[in-house]
Amino acid sequence: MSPSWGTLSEPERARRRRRFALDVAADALVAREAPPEGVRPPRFDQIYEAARDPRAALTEPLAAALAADDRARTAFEALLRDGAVCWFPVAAAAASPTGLDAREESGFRIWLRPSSAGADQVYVLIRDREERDVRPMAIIALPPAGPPVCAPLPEDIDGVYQLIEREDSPLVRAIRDPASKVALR
Amino acid sequence: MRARVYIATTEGPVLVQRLAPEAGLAEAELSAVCLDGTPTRLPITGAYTYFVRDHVRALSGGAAYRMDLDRRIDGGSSWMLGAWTAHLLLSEGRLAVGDETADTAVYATGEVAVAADAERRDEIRPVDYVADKIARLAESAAEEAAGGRRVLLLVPQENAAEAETALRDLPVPERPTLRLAADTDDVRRALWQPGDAESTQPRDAESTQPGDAALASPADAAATPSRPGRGKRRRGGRVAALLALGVLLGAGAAGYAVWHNAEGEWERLRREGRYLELARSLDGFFVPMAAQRFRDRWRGQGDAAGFAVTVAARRPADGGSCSGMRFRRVSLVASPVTPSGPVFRLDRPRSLCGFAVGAASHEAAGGHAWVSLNLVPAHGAPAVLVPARKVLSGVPAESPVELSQDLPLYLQDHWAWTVTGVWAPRPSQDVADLLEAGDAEALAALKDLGLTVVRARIELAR
Repeated sequence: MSPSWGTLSEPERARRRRRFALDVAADALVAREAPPEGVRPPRFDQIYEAARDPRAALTEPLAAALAADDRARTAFEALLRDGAVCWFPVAAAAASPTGLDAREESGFRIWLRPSSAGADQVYVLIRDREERDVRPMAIIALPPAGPPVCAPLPEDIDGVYQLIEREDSPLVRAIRDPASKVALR
Repeated sequence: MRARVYIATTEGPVLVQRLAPEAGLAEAELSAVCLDGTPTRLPITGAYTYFVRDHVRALSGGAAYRMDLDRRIDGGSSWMLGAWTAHLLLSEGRLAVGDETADTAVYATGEVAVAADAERRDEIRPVDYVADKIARLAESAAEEAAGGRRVLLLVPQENAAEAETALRDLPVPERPTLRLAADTDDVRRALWQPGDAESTQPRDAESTQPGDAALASPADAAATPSRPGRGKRRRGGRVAALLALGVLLGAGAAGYAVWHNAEGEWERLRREGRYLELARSLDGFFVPMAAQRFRDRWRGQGDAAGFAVTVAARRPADGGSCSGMRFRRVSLVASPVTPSGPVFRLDRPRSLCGFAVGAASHEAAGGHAWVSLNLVPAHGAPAVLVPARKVLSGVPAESPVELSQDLPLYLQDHWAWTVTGVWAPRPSQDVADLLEAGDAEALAALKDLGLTVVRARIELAR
């Protein structure tokens, strides 16, 4: 006998809501009309791997396809948010004229610092304040428009992950943009 | 004194291009090692961070630095002595970076470690391949000396014998002054020892000052001043001519004997597979033409007819995807890949589960074969997923020499490997060491010594 909705605990309801949303997104992808000639929409298994596999790369064709297809992007975001080690939603705090230089969520802090080697280089630092069984292996940023960006994380040094990026790299621009969402996968 | 610092490696000396406190990393107490001023972060960054915390903070008070190198260093710990020397010079305002002028060049290899004895906090520990590192820095040291700079080689005390032997193999103009260090105090003494500034040549061979192990060079003996003449008795012209002829004949006979003995020695080294020693002996022989003649005799004379590298792609027998293979209960089959020139392209990545690389001869041949597979670093991540280097050796006549490489299910674009196959008449530790070190230049030189060396490239194609 199936349990009734009213008897479920709130966490269980939340879990089932998310699962339902994912199923709907998957169905939408499978049932869609044939794409125009020459356009290759991402398959659901590709989206699933890119969102859920900690070591999967986000290839350029897939990132471009996600940028061009709202439903695929919605499914990717839902899968990513659901499976992320940490999910940073759109930032509510007011940003400086140059944008955000730090984000905090669920024990993780991401912050940007300039490098002495030149104004065009910036450190992306991610600190994990908690002891966790699962460690993130990649950072994925979802800007409000354009393709998502993924960068593998190196080994942490005492709980801090260090990346060095160009100031104008898509990853740094996405982290600075308060309207972007960020996941540690 | 103002000095630039090189880290001696088996791939050649690596210059410390820039070293500076990094305020942006101070909050996290992290440091970074980068390539050539770019954002490329080298894999030794983690070890360097701990090195700064353990050994540099006490020196300068800083806990976050960025060091830029002109070439990659991907692992090991022998970079530490060079890094410590650079930090010492930086703390004294004597480190030359970029275009800054320098009167000294320091080459260093060694590990810096916290000593078990609390009285000696930082000790210098021995490292491997010192002779190879010295051989690879000779050209750079000669350029520094030609620029009028004092050239020092700093190695751990326990590597003294190996370093002295290796230095003797270098021509005198390329020979740096050897300095030994048992702890970090010795490094200070070695850098600021008085009396070095006048010459880049080795000093007194008897010198045993702390930190000093100067070598006497053959040139020192040759430069010994001759005693004044004592007045010669006049001799008849005929006697003098006969004497001169006798000297010439004697010298010729002696020279022939030395050459003959040297050729015998070279043959022995070649038979025993001691190719590095053979190459050094040939390079240092006093009659270059004789050494060249020996090389010419063996160049391209590898006995392995048709020795070649082969690649086979491993895919599910039903041609389906590799990731779904576990649900279909099919086995893998290997199919040979036809190269395009030296490049093997592996297409259809979804059905590609791995590949095998072999080194074999089409014709029956004895001897020993090696094959090495080296991942070409592309976007940083692949080395985490597959080994950076694999080496296998064997006897082709007994069983195929074949390396296997499984591929992760989720492939990345542009992955590539270089493949090197080597055939030699007998097993040789030198060949194995060169393949492990990935020393392409030295491997190519083996062709001059009668070995067969073939190269290829494997690329994953979308």
